[in-house]
Amino acid sequence: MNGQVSELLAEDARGWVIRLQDSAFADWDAFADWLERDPAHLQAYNQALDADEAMAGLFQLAPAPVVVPEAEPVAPRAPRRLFLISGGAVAAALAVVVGWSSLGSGPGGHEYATRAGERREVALADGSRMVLNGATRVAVLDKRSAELIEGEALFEVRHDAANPFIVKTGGVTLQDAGTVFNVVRDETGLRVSVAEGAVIYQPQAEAVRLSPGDSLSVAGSGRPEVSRTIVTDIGAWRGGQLVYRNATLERVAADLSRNLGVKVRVGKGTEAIPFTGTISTQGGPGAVVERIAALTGTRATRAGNGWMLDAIDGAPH
Amino acid sequence: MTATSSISGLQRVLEDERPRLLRFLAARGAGDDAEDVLQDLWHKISGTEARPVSDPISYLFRAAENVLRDRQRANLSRGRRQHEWQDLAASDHAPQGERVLIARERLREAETTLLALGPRVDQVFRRYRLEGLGQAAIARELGISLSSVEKDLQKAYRALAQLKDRFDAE
Repeated sequence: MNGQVSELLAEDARGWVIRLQDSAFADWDAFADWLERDPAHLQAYNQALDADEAMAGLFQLAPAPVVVPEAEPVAPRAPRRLFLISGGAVAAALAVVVGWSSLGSGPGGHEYATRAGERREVALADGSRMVLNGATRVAVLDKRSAELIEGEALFEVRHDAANPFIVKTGGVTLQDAGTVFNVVRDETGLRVSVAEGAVIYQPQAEAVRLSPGDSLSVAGSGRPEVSRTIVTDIGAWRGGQLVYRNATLERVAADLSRNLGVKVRVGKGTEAIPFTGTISTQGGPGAVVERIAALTGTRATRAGNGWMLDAIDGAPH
Repeated sequence: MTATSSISGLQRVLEDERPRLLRFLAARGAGDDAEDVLQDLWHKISGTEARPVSDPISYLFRAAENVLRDRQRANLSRGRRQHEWQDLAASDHAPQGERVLIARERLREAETTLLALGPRVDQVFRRYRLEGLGQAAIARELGISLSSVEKDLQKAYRALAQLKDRFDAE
């Protein structure tokens, strides 16, 4: 199998695969620029290309060749949006990022916040990046540490064994021993999932080492539990998907609140209903909540600005 | 090479753009093959002068990309880009019938995955990737913005890549 490519980079690479397939694509120098910026880009691109050809190959036995433009004139493309910041562009982009989303906190630190339903990507001074899900606050303490105050963030960290990156959250310390991991802190507790490299939970205490695919959760009791998850599901929220394996409905509701921008609560007796499956967060909060209600055998009702999921047999809330 | 009457217009453009094309091929991982790729390309376009090309430079880049991919595919056996699961023929473990069943099952899963993203995403993906329509044409046809087409494509490709990772892990 090919080496793992970080999800952020994989997304960039897929963007190029998609664009190059358009017969109107003409930005070849920009593509070469991107490839040259970091040797990892070529690997990511080839991997994205392999995935594309393999999957398209399922639809039609032979992979489609790249379309060659024919004689007919081609309409000029509209200007493209800026793509994910990567590699050498990080330093340049940082000034902008700090300018627009900093709330200003203590000396030496900046705080970044998102409203529910919002997303933000932040480039850090050392070349690391974090992507904030909705209803999330993160304080950058210094070059190599950040605090997740609440919510969910995906960290893509430049690894430096001599000077590890630290994420603090709710009195817990996570030390990176690799590169990409997702952290959630909300009313249901703490969850840490590692997509790439490794993370050490509480290096000075329990020192639980988490490898790719490991997901550690700490609920109210405070005892950490490690389970397995599929690496590509980690951070799927960035693409509008929430992926679960035996999650409690309470946790699903907390995730939905963060992603949809409306409060989703669960009624008594439904908290522990297990859910396995993938939820798309597209299509409006009402539709999403109705879908999850149908999938879990609960009833969705409006509650103030938000939604309530109740047991169908239970008394109305 | 000098431009003579036997050289097509495209070949002349190729000579003019040689440094840019070589830089692209190097970035694209052609390594020592970059010159060979251009040589292949030179022969390929020798017969195409009768057909006008709307954007010769872009045409050459794309053709270079295609030649490079063909060469890389030919080198598959050297290991790097292997589709073990797609080409199960490489292994003797699964009989032909079973391979077909697996492929069919995977196609069904891929179709389900696309549909789960919504009928529009499914339609945009098919028009673009399988039928070869341009993004602008799809936007016009469906009466949606170009950025909606882009977003739909990103969703579809991401979901399919994740599905492939799952197949790979099986």
